[in-house]
Amino acid sequence: MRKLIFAINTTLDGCVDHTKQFVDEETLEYFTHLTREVDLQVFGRKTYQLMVPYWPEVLKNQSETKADHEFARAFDSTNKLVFSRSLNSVEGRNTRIVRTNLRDEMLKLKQEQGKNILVGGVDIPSQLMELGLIDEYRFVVGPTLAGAGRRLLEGVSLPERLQLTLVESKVLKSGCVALHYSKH
Amino acid sequence: MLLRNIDFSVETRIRPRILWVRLWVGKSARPRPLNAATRNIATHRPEGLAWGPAKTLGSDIVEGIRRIKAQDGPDVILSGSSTLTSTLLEHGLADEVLLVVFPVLLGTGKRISADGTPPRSFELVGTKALASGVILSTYKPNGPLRTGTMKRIGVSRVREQGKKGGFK
Repeated sequence: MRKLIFAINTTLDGCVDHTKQFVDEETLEYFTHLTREVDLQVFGRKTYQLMVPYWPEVLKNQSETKADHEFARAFDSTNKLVFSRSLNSVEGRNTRIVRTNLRDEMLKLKQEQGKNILVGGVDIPSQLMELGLIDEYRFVVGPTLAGAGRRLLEGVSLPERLQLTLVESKVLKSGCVALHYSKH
Repeated sequence: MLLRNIDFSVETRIRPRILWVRLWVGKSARPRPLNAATRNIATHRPEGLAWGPAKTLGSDIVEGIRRIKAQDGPDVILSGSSTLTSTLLEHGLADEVLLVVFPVLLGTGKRISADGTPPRSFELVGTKALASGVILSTYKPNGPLRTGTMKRIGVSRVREQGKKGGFK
């Protein structure tokens, strides 16, 4: 069965708002490697619109860094699934919109043949955590305290505390610590 | 282990103090270094000082901690307060932050910093993974969060326009 991997950058105090963080080159490379290991990426509408058209445009723009380009290429070439009730169409390629039933759709996709699935964002991953459907977690913890801001699992309640198993921890030069956990 | 070399323990207001007393007082297996350390309590209620050796930090907590830091002696540890931690960081009184991350997702509960604490940056000193999956990371405060660092790598057109995109 395909694994569902959730990856996100977070501050020391658990703020996952991307505007409160600074993503260094090595963190971007970490996400590039992760994206290359999957063949499907899942987003909610808000995260999708954060990523597209931003990354497809980076791909067209020669003035960006090598790390930016490599992430953009990995991102662009992967199939994407967007959960949205309001989007009718998307401008990005290899993208499908799904309106309803997150649980059934994800269960079906996990049963299908293929590489692992990567999910990003806040709302959709939080719901998937509540549903117990995430198999692996990647938290890249930046050396900052945000003080306030968006966190994971707001508005959802876990049926029980989720015990994880630490698979690996890796220190990046920027002082970010990349933590890799799997479901217990 | 971490408490072995520590003689001063700076604790917070009455509630965590009670928690500590409940946890450790009367237990024969309580760690000797913890028991021997002088506890400096930020409290308005004298009953919080029952577990000696204990002293009050006085009405001005920040001044009280400055006073202790200025004295000769072993390092001072503050354990487990979301309100006092934020105060100490804001006043530049913490020299080191040890973060202990357990491999558990809860979804609710107390956070490290009180809401509205100004954003701050840190320098990672070191990190260690224990066999249990617990991660111990040590940080040094590195001042307020500098937005200038945003421009260090890969400034994009989107960001130059004042917006952030692509999760960066």
